[in-house]
Amino acid sequence: MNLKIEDQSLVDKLVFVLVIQVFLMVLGERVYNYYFYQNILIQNLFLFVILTNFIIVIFVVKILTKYQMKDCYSNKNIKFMENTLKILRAERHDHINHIQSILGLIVSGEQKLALSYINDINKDTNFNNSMLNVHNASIRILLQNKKSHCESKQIEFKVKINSSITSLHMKGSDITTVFGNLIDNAIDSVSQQVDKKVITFIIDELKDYHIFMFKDSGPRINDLVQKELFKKGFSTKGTNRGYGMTLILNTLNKYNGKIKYIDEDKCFVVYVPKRG
Amino acid sequence: MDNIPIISLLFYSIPESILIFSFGYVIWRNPIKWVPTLLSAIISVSLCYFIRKLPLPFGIHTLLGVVIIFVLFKFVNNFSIRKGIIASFLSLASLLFLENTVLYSIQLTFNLSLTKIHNLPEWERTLIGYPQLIVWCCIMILMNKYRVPILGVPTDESEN
Repeated sequence: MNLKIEDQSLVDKLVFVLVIQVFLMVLGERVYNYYFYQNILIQNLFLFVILTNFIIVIFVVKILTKYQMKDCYSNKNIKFMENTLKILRAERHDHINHIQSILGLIVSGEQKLALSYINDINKDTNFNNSMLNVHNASIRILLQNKKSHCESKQIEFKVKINSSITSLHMKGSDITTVFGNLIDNAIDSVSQQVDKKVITFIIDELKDYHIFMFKDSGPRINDLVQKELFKKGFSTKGTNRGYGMTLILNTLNKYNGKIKYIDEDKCFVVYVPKRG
Repeated sequence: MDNIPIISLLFYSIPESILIFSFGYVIWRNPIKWVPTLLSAIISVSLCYFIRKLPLPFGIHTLLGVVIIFVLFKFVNNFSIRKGIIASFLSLASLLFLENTVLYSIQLTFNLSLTKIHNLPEWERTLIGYPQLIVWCCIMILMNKYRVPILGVPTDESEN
């Protein structure tokens, strides 16, 4: 059955009416039972009709909300496709310029420069390809911004996407709070390093959880700091700081999420339960 | 007007109220938050105890109960208005559905009316309602295990 629900509020109204109707009917039967308790055929038939109606209403409400959900998902998919097209258009626009630059370098005999140029473009292209697999606009935009920020500090920002996170139900502001703070902490951690600075962000999933891993090439967090990490006001970066991790923990608690520091891998792992 | 014995209050009304609020979470496929659920159950039972003492026709206290349950879903369990309304009405409708089936079967078997049930000794009055609570609990466990919601998932990301 191909049913398209145009108006979400109409579906909501239908659902409310059906649910209230079935409630009033079963309550009416209960009240009738209280005042006129008689074991006669008509009363039993009346009860049967009401109970059947209850079951039918549950199925109808379920179908209505299912189609409402499908409609919402297809709207989200359309938005995702539009954003993807924008990324591809931008990439294609640069692509022509890059081809001409590479051609120029090769013609003028600068093969090594051309190779280095191609490697740089390759990294950007790989990053943009990874972004195409991220169905959450807030995370995508955050990662693009953080990549630019890392490039300005000469930090390599790697992203591995093993899940499309379609059922992530965090608000955009909460995503920025949790992931933005963790990436900023990773940037602070590697900024002081002299050798290669790398931050890796991995998106994965388990059956019931989305998993986000934040690795950096900075030093390991020592045991004493690990114990105090989520305490309000605690910071290794000076006074009047130390609210980021507490904020992350409080935000994740809203979604029954968790955050752990894995000592062996020197990374933070965030678990967010899947929705729906 | 119904004077609920304390034993019924503690051993029947509170478990029933816990199931009402838990069912609200289950139908929306949210993990059950036990602290708000228990708090809501205690508040709901306390208020309903006094409402039942009022000289109201049978059934009106249920309508008042819906309002109390909706308010508790909204403010203690942080449900949105839409989810709270649907959860309150569906939870109570499901409870009444089970009373109209399970409890009604017991009434037919033992030739009891609701008036007679209300006049039973305290422990019998308390235990007679347990079969429907057990059935409801089993239904919720099955729904949770096989992730079968009555309703779809919220379409608004801002809803909990």
